[in-house]
Amino acid sequence: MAHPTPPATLTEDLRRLTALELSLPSRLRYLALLLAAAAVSAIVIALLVTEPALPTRTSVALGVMGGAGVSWMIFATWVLTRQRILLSSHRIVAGRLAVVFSTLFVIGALSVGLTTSNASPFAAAAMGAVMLAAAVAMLARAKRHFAQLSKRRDELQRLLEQEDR
Amino acid sequence: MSHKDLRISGSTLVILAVVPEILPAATSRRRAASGEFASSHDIVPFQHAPVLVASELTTARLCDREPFGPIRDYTGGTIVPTIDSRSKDDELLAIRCQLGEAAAFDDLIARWHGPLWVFVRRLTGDDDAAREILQDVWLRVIRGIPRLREGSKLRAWLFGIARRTLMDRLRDQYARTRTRDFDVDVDEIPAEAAVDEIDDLDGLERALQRLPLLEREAVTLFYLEELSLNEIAETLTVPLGTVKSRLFRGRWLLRERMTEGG
Repeated sequence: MAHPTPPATLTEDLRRLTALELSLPSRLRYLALLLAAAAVSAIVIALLVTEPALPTRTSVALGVMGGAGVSWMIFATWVLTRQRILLSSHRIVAGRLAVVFSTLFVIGALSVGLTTSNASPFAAAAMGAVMLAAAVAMLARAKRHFAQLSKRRDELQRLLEQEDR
Repeated sequence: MSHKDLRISGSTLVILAVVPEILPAATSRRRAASGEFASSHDIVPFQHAPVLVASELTTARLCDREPFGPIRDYTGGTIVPTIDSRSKDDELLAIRCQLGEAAAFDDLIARWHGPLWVFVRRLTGDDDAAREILQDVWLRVIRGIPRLREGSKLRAWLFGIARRTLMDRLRDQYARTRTRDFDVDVDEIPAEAAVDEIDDLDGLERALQRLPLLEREAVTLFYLEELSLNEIAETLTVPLGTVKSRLFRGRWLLRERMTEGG
Protein backbone atom coordinates (compact mmCIF):
# COMPACT_ATOMS: atom_id res chain seq x y z
CA MET A 1 0.00 0.00 0.00
CA ALA A 2 1.27 3.45 -0.83
CA HIS A 3 2.36 5.22 2.31
CA PRO A 4 2.69 8.93 1.76
CA THR A 5 5.75 10.27 3.51
CA PRO A 6 5.88 13.72 5.03
CA PRO A 7 7.61 16.30 2.84
CA ALA A 8 11.21 16.90 3.94
CA THR A 9 10.59 20.64 4.12
CA LEU A 10 7.73 20.08 6.55
CA THR A 11 9.95 17.97 8.78
CA GLU A 12 12.57 20.72 8.78
CA ASP A 13 9.91 23.35 9.49
CA LEU A 14 8.73 21.30 12.45
CA ARG A 15 12.22 20.99 13.86
CA ARG A 16 12.66 24.76 13.63
CA LEU A 17 9.23 25.30 15.17
CA THR A 18 10.09 22.95 18.01
CA ALA A 19 13.44 24.64 18.66
CA LEU A 20 11.72 28.02 18.75
CA GLU A 21 8.91 26.81 20.97
CA LEU A 22 11.30 25.23 23.43
CA SER A 23 13.97 27.90 23.59
CA LEU A 24 14.83 28.82 27.17
CA PRO A 25 15.54 32.54 26.50
CA SER A 26 11.99 33.10 25.24
CA ARG A 27 10.69 31.63 28.49
CA LEU A 28 13.07 33.61 30.64
CA ARG A 29 11.86 36.85 29.06
CA TYR A 30 8.33 36.13 30.23
CA LEU A 31 9.62 35.01 33.61
CA ALA A 32 11.47 38.34 33.93
CA LEU A 33 8.29 40.16 32.96
CA LEU A 34 6.37 38.23 35.63
CA LEU A 35 8.90 39.01 38.35
CA ALA A 36 9.23 42.69 37.38
CA ALA A 37 5.45 43.10 37.28
CA ALA A 38 5.19 41.42 40.69
CA ALA A 39 7.82 43.76 42.16
CA VAL A 40 6.24 46.91 40.73
CA SER A 41 2.81 45.79 41.89
CA ALA A 42 4.12 45.10 45.40
CA ILE A 43 5.73 48.53 45.67
CA VAL A 44 2.75 50.39 44.26
CA ILE A 45 0.22 48.55 46.40
CA ALA A 46 2.42 49.03 49.49
CA LEU A 47 2.48 52.78 48.84
CA LEU A 48 -1.26 52.84 48.27
CA VAL A 49 -1.98 50.97 51.48
CA THR A 50 0.51 52.64 53.83
CA GLU A 51 0.69 56.26 52.71
CA PRO A 52 -1.80 58.32 54.75
CA ALA A 53 -3.91 61.06 53.27
CA LEU A 54 -2.87 60.67 49.66
CA PRO A 55 -4.62 63.04 47.27
CA THR A 56 -7.43 61.33 45.41
CA ARG A 57 -5.73 61.71 42.04
CA THR A 58 -2.54 60.12 43.41
CA SER A 59 -4.52 57.22 44.86
CA VAL A 60 -6.26 56.69 41.54
CA ALA A 61 -2.94 56.83 39.68
CA LEU A 62 -1.34 54.31 42.03
CA GLY A 63 -4.39 52.08 41.75
CA VAL A 64 -4.15 52.15 37.96
CA MET A 65 -0.43 51.35 38.11
CA GLY A 66 -1.06 48.47 40.52
CA GLY A 67 -3.81 47.17 38.25
CA ALA A 68 -1.50 47.35 35.25
CA GLY A 69 1.17 45.45 37.17
CA VAL A 70 -1.26 42.71 38.12
CA SER A 71 -2.48 42.53 34.50
CA TRP A 72 1.09 42.00 33.28
CA MET A 73 1.52 39.29 35.91
CA ILE A 74 -1.61 37.52 34.64
CA PHE A 75 -0.45 37.83 31.03
CA ALA A 76 3.04 36.46 31.78
CA THR A 77 1.53 33.60 33.79
CA TRP A 78 -0.82 32.79 30.91
CA VAL A 79 2.05 32.74 28.41
CA LEU A 80 4.16 30.52 30.65
CA THR A 81 1.35 28.04 31.22
CA ARG A 82 -0.22 28.03 27.74
CA GLN A 83 2.24 29.25 25.12
CA ARG A 84 5.80 28.88 26.36
CA ILE A 85 5.13 25.93 28.60
CA LEU A 86 7.71 25.37 31.30
CA LEU A 87 9.07 21.86 31.12
CA SER A 88 10.38 20.22 34.25
CA SER A 89 13.98 21.46 33.90
CA HIS A 90 12.71 24.93 32.94
CA ARG A 91 10.64 25.04 36.13
CA ILE A 92 13.70 24.50 38.24
CA VAL A 93 15.56 27.32 36.48
CA ALA A 94 12.50 29.56 36.81
CA GLY A 95 12.09 28.62 40.47
CA ARG A 96 15.70 29.45 41.28
CA LEU A 97 15.49 32.78 39.50
CA ALA A 98 12.28 33.61 41.35
CA VAL A 99 13.87 32.76 44.71
CA VAL A 100 16.93 34.88 44.00
CA PHE A 101 14.88 37.80 42.71
CA SER A 102 12.41 37.69 45.60
CA THR A 103 15.22 37.51 48.14
CA LEU A 104 16.89 40.55 46.62
CA PHE A 105 13.57 42.38 46.61
CA VAL A 106 12.93 41.63 50.29
CA ILE A 107 16.47 42.64 51.28
CA GLY A 108 16.20 45.86 49.26
CA ALA A 109 12.82 46.77 50.71
CA LEU A 110 13.98 46.08 54.25
CA SER A 111 17.14 48.14 53.72
CA VAL A 112 15.11 51.10 52.50
CA GLY A 113 12.68 50.66 55.40
CA LEU A 114 15.47 50.58 57.98
CA THR A 115 17.15 53.69 56.58
CA THR A 116 13.94 55.71 56.42
CA SER A 117 11.11 56.12 58.83
CA ASN A 118 8.52 55.23 56.21
CA ALA A 119 6.17 52.23 56.60
CA SER A 120 5.77 51.63 52.89
CA PRO A 121 9.07 49.72 52.38
CA PHE A 122 8.14 47.36 55.22
CA ALA A 123 4.77 46.71 53.61
CA ALA A 124 6.55 46.06 50.30
CA ALA A 125 9.00 43.77 52.11
CA ALA A 126 6.06 41.86 53.61
CA MET A 127 4.61 41.31 50.14
CA GLY A 128 8.08 40.38 48.94
CA ALA A 129 8.23 37.79 51.70
CA VAL A 130 4.99 36.29 50.39
CA MET A 131 6.53 36.21 46.90
CA LEU A 132 9.64 34.55 48.32
CA ALA A 133 7.59 31.90 50.12
CA ALA A 134 5.68 31.19 46.91
CA ALA A 135 8.96 30.98 44.95
CA VAL A 136 10.50 28.56 47.45
CA ALA A 137 7.37 26.38 47.36
CA MET A 138 7.40 26.35 43.54
CA LEU A 139 11.09 25.49 43.44
CA ALA A 140 10.62 22.63 45.90
CA ARG A 141 7.67 21.33 43.88
CA ALA A 142 9.63 21.61 40.63
CA LYS A 143 12.56 19.69 42.12
CA ARG A 144 10.28 16.99 43.49
CA HIS A 145 8.56 16.64 40.12
CA PHE A 146 11.90 16.51 38.30
CA ALA A 147 13.18 13.84 40.69
CA GLN A 148 10.03 11.73 40.20
CA LEU A 149 10.28 11.93 36.42
CA SER A 150 14.02 11.18 36.45
CA LYS A 151 13.47 8.16 38.67
CA ARG A 152 10.76 6.83 36.39
CA ARG A 153 12.92 7.48 33.30
CA ASP A 154 15.84 5.54 34.79
CA GLU A 155 13.50 2.72 35.80
CA LEU A 156 12.03 2.48 32.29
CA GLN A 157 15.45 2.56 30.67
CA ARG A 158 16.58 -0.27 32.94
CA LEU A 159 13.47 -2.33 32.17
CA LEU A 160 13.82 -1.82 28.43
CA GLU A 161 17.50 -2.74 28.52
CA GLN A 162 16.62 -5.93 30.38
CA GLU A 163 14.00 -6.77 27.74
CA ASP A 164 16.51 -6.19 24.96
CA ARG A 165 18.94 -8.72 26.41
CA MET B 1 -12.66 -9.32 -7.43
CA SER B 2 -11.03 -12.69 -7.47
CA HIS B 3 -8.05 -13.39 -5.27
CA LYS B 4 -5.01 -11.77 -6.80
CA ASP B 5 -1.31 -11.74 -6.36
CA LEU B 6 0.35 -8.43 -6.95
CA ARG B 7 3.99 -7.75 -6.23
CA ILE B 8 4.64 -4.14 -5.33
CA SER B 9 7.84 -2.08 -5.35
CA GLY B 10 10.61 -4.54 -4.81
CA SER B 11 8.28 -7.26 -3.70
CA THR B 12 7.59 -6.09 -0.22
CA LEU B 13 3.85 -6.55 -0.15
CA VAL B 14 1.28 -8.56 -1.98
CA ILE B 15 -2.45 -8.13 -2.19
CA LEU B 16 -3.93 -11.50 -1.45
CA ALA B 17 -7.64 -11.21 -1.34
CA VAL B 18 -10.46 -8.92 -0.47
CA VAL B 19 -9.92 -6.08 1.95
CA PRO B 20 -10.46 -7.70 5.34
CA GLU B 21 -7.51 -9.93 4.55
CA ILE B 22 -5.42 -7.31 2.78
CA LEU B 23 -5.22 -4.68 5.46
CA PRO B 24 -4.10 -6.81 8.39
CA ALA B 25 -1.89 -8.99 6.24
CA ALA B 26 -0.15 -6.02 4.66
CA THR B 27 0.24 -4.38 8.05
CA SER B 28 1.66 -7.46 9.68
CA ARG B 29 4.09 -8.07 6.82
CA ARG B 30 5.28 -4.49 6.97
CA ARG B 31 5.85 -4.73 10.69
CA ALA B 32 7.44 -8.13 10.34
CA ALA B 33 9.78 -6.89 7.63
CA SER B 34 10.98 -4.05 9.84
CA GLY B 35 11.31 -6.34 12.83
CA GLU B 36 8.80 -4.27 14.74
CA PHE B 37 5.75 -5.80 16.39
CA ALA B 38 3.19 -3.54 17.81
CA SER B 39 0.88 -5.69 19.84
CA SER B 40 0.23 -9.08 21.27
CA HIS B 41 -2.05 -9.67 18.28
CA ASP B 42 0.94 -9.95 15.98
CA ILE B 43 1.78 -13.53 15.22
CA VAL B 44 4.99 -14.08 13.31
CA PRO B 45 5.20 -17.53 11.82
CA PHE B 46 8.01 -16.60 9.41
CA GLN B 47 9.89 -13.36 9.75
CA HIS B 48 12.27 -13.53 6.85
CA ALA B 49 10.03 -14.23 3.89
CA PRO B 50 9.95 -10.91 2.04
CA VAL B 51 6.88 -11.60 -0.07
CA LEU B 52 3.49 -13.07 0.51
CA VAL B 53 2.11 -15.12 -2.33
CA ALA B 54 -1.29 -16.65 -2.87
CA SER B 55 -0.26 -19.99 -1.43
CA GLU B 56 0.47 -18.19 1.80
CA LEU B 57 -3.06 -16.90 2.05
CA THR B 58 -3.84 -19.15 4.98
CA THR B 59 -0.82 -17.94 6.86
CA ALA B 60 -1.65 -14.34 6.07
CA ARG B 61 -5.09 -14.81 7.51
CA LEU B 62 -3.50 -16.04 10.69
CA CYS B 63 -1.77 -12.67 10.92
CA ASP B 64 -5.14 -10.94 11.17
CA ARG B 65 -5.76 -8.40 13.80
CA GLU B 66 -9.14 -9.52 14.98
CA PRO B 67 -11.23 -6.77 16.53
CA PHE B 68 -14.40 -8.83 16.89
CA GLY B 69 -13.23 -11.95 18.63
CA PRO B 70 -10.41 -13.71 20.40
CA ILE B 71 -6.89 -13.82 18.97
CA ARG B 72 -6.45 -16.82 16.72
CA ASP B 73 -3.28 -18.82 16.79
CA TYR B 74 -3.65 -21.90 14.66
CA THR B 75 0.01 -22.12 13.74
CA GLY B 76 1.66 -22.51 17.08
CA GLY B 77 3.68 -19.49 16.00
CA THR B 78 5.15 -17.14 18.56
CA ILE B 79 2.80 -14.52 19.94
CA VAL B 80 5.09 -11.63 20.72
CA PRO B 81 3.94 -9.92 23.94
CA THR B 82 5.26 -6.49 23.05
CA ILE B 83 2.35 -4.19 23.79
CA ASP B 84 3.86 -3.64 27.23
CA SER B 85 7.28 -2.67 25.91
CA ARG B 86 5.62 -0.44 23.34
CA SER B 87 3.89 1.37 26.20
CA LYS B 88 7.19 1.61 28.05
CA ASP B 89 8.87 3.10 24.98
CA ASP B 90 6.09 5.64 24.67
CA GLU B 91 6.22 6.50 28.35
CA LEU B 92 10.00 6.88 28.28
CA LEU B 93 9.78 9.24 25.32
CA ALA B 94 7.04 11.29 26.98
CA ILE B 95 8.97 11.54 30.25
CA ARG B 96 12.16 12.62 28.48
CA CYS B 97 10.17 15.38 26.78
CA GLN B 98 8.57 16.43 30.05
CA LEU B 99 11.97 16.59 31.67
CA GLY B 100 13.04 19.02 28.97
CA GLU B 101 15.64 16.94 27.12
CA ALA B 102 16.10 18.74 23.82
CA ALA B 103 17.00 15.52 21.98
CA ALA B 104 13.77 13.92 23.17
CA PHE B 105 11.68 16.25 21.01
CA ASP B 106 13.79 15.33 17.99
CA ASP B 107 13.14 11.69 18.84
CA LEU B 108 9.45 12.41 19.26
CA ILE B 109 9.28 14.00 15.82
CA ALA B 110 11.40 11.26 14.26
CA ARG B 111 9.16 8.57 15.76
CA TRP B 112 5.71 10.09 15.30
CA HIS B 113 5.84 12.63 12.50
CA GLY B 114 5.50 9.93 9.83
CA PRO B 115 2.51 8.10 11.36
CA LEU B 116 0.73 11.36 12.14
CA TRP B 117 1.35 12.58 8.60
CA VAL B 118 -0.07 9.37 7.16
CA PHE B 119 -3.10 9.60 9.45
CA VAL B 120 -3.86 13.25 8.71
CA ARG B 121 -3.01 12.95 5.01
CA ARG B 122 -5.30 9.95 4.71
CA LEU B 123 -8.18 11.74 6.40
CA THR B 124 -7.79 15.02 4.52
CA GLY B 125 -6.76 13.56 1.17
CA ASP B 126 -4.78 16.71 0.49
CA ASP B 127 -1.09 17.53 0.97
CA ASP B 128 -1.47 21.24 1.69
CA ALA B 129 -4.26 20.79 4.21
CA ALA B 130 -2.33 17.98 5.90
CA ARG B 131 0.74 20.18 6.10
CA GLU B 132 -1.12 23.02 7.80
CA ILE B 133 -2.88 20.69 10.18
CA LEU B 134 0.33 18.89 11.09
CA GLN B 135 1.97 22.15 12.10
CA ASP B 136 -0.97 22.91 14.40
CA VAL B 137 -0.84 19.38 15.73
CA TRP B 138 2.83 19.67 16.69
CA LEU B 139 2.30 23.05 18.30
CA ARG B 140 -0.41 21.51 20.44
CA VAL B 141 1.78 18.53 21.21
CA ILE B 142 4.73 20.65 22.34
CA ARG B 143 2.52 22.89 24.43
CA GLY B 144 0.49 20.04 25.87
CA ILE B 145 3.06 17.39 26.67
CA PRO B 146 3.94 18.76 30.13
CA ARG B 147 0.32 18.07 31.09
CA LEU B 148 0.27 14.50 29.78
CA ARG B 149 -0.23 12.45 32.94
CA GLU B 150 0.08 8.93 31.57
CA GLY B 151 3.05 8.73 29.22
CA SER B 152 2.16 5.16 28.33
CA LYS B 153 -0.87 6.57 26.51
CA LEU B 154 1.28 8.82 24.32
CA ARG B 155 0.12 7.04 21.16
CA ALA B 156 -3.59 7.60 21.77
CA TRP B 157 -2.89 11.12 23.03
CA LEU B 158 -1.03 12.10 19.84
CA PHE B 159 -3.65 10.71 17.50
CA GLY B 160 -6.34 12.31 19.66
CA ILE B 161 -4.71 15.71 19.20
CA ALA B 162 -4.38 15.10 15.45
CA ARG B 163 -8.03 14.16 15.26
CA ARG B 164 -9.22 17.15 17.31
CA THR B 165 -7.10 19.52 15.22
CA LEU B 166 -8.53 18.03 12.06
CA MET B 167 -12.08 18.28 13.38
CA ASP B 168 -11.53 21.91 14.41
CA ARG B 169 -10.31 22.66 10.89
CA LEU B 170 -13.25 20.87 9.28
CA ARG B 171 -15.65 22.67 11.60
CA ASP B 172 -14.16 26.02 10.61
CA GLN B 173 -14.31 25.19 6.94
CA TYR B 174 -17.84 23.89 7.28
CA ALA B 175 -18.86 27.11 8.98
CA ARG B 176 -17.40 29.09 6.07
CA THR B 177 -18.82 26.97 3.29
CA ARG B 178 -21.83 25.11 4.50
CA THR B 179 -22.61 23.69 1.13
CA ARG B 180 -19.34 21.83 0.79
CA ASP B 181 -19.17 18.29 2.08
CA PHE B 182 -15.82 16.78 2.99
CA ASP B 183 -16.98 13.19 3.10
CA VAL B 184 -17.29 11.37 -0.15
CA ASP B 185 -20.04 8.82 -0.01
CA VAL B 186 -18.90 5.40 -1.19
CA ASP B 187 -21.95 5.17 -3.38
CA GLU B 188 -20.64 8.10 -5.39
CA ILE B 189 -17.51 6.25 -6.44
CA PRO B 190 -17.75 5.33 -10.11
CA ALA B 191 -17.80 1.59 -10.73
CA GLU B 192 -14.94 1.88 -13.24
CA ALA B 193 -12.78 3.56 -10.65
CA ALA B 194 -13.48 0.80 -8.16
CA VAL B 195 -12.40 -1.89 -10.63
CA ASP B 196 -9.16 -0.10 -11.41
CA GLU B 197 -8.41 0.81 -7.84
CA ILE B 198 -8.50 -2.65 -6.38
CA ASP B 199 -5.82 -3.82 -8.76
CA ASP B 200 -3.09 -2.14 -6.79
CA LEU B 201 -2.26 -0.92 -3.36
CA ASP B 202 -2.48 2.70 -4.38
CA GLY B 203 -6.00 1.89 -5.42
CA LEU B 204 -6.73 0.48 -2.01
CA GLU B 205 -5.35 3.67 -0.55
CA ARG B 206 -7.74 5.69 -2.70
CA ALA B 207 -10.65 3.45 -1.85
CA LEU B 208 -9.85 3.89 1.81
CA GLN B 209 -9.86 7.64 1.40
CA ARG B 210 -13.36 7.43 -0.01
CA LEU B 211 -14.74 5.83 3.12
CA PRO B 212 -16.86 8.09 5.30
CA LEU B 213 -14.60 9.95 7.72
CA LEU B 214 -15.64 8.11 10.89
CA GLU B 215 -15.09 4.68 9.39
CA ARG B 216 -11.90 5.79 7.63
CA GLU B 217 -10.25 7.01 10.81
CA ALA B 218 -11.22 3.85 12.71
CA VAL B 219 -9.88 1.58 9.94
CA THR B 220 -6.72 3.69 9.60
CA LEU B 221 -5.98 3.69 13.32
CA PHE B 222 -6.62 -0.02 13.77
CA TYR B 223 -5.06 -1.58 10.69
CA LEU B 224 -2.50 0.94 9.56
CA GLU B 225 -1.41 2.71 12.74
CA GLU B 226 -1.98 -0.44 14.80
CA LEU B 227 -3.59 1.14 17.79
CA SER B 228 -5.47 -1.21 20.10
CA LEU B 229 -9.25 -0.97 20.33
CA ASN B 230 -8.95 0.71 23.73
CA GLU B 231 -6.43 3.22 22.38
CA ILE B 232 -8.74 4.03 19.48
CA ALA B 233 -11.64 4.51 21.90
CA GLU B 234 -9.48 6.97 23.87
CA THR B 235 -8.30 8.71 20.71
CA LEU B 236 -11.79 9.14 19.31
CA THR B 237 -13.38 9.62 22.74
CA VAL B 238 -16.10 7.11 21.97
CA PRO B 239 -17.10 3.86 23.70
CA LEU B 240 -15.36 0.63 22.75
CA GLY B 241 -18.54 -0.70 21.14
CA THR B 242 -18.69 2.31 18.83
CA VAL B 243 -15.13 1.65 17.70
CA LYS B 244 -16.03 -1.94 16.91
CA SER B 245 -19.13 -0.96 14.98
CA ARG B 246 -17.18 1.63 12.96
CA LEU B 247 -14.51 -0.93 12.18
CA PHE B 248 -17.15 -3.43 11.19
CA ARG B 249 -18.91 -0.94 8.95
CA GLY B 250 -15.61 0.26 7.48
CA ARG B 251 -14.55 -3.26 6.63
CA TRP B 252 -17.96 -4.03 5.24
CA LEU B 253 -17.95 -0.94 3.02
CA LEU B 254 -14.47 -1.72 1.68
CA ARG B 255 -15.37 -5.35 1.12
CA GLU B 256 -18.54 -4.35 -0.72
CA ARG B 257 -16.64 -1.97 -2.95
CA MET B 258 -14.02 -4.54 -3.80
CA THR B 259 -16.31 -7.47 -4.34
CA GLU B 260 -18.45 -5.27 -6.58
CA GLY B 261 -15.30 -4.50 -8.52
CA GLY B 262 -14.40 -8.18 -8.85
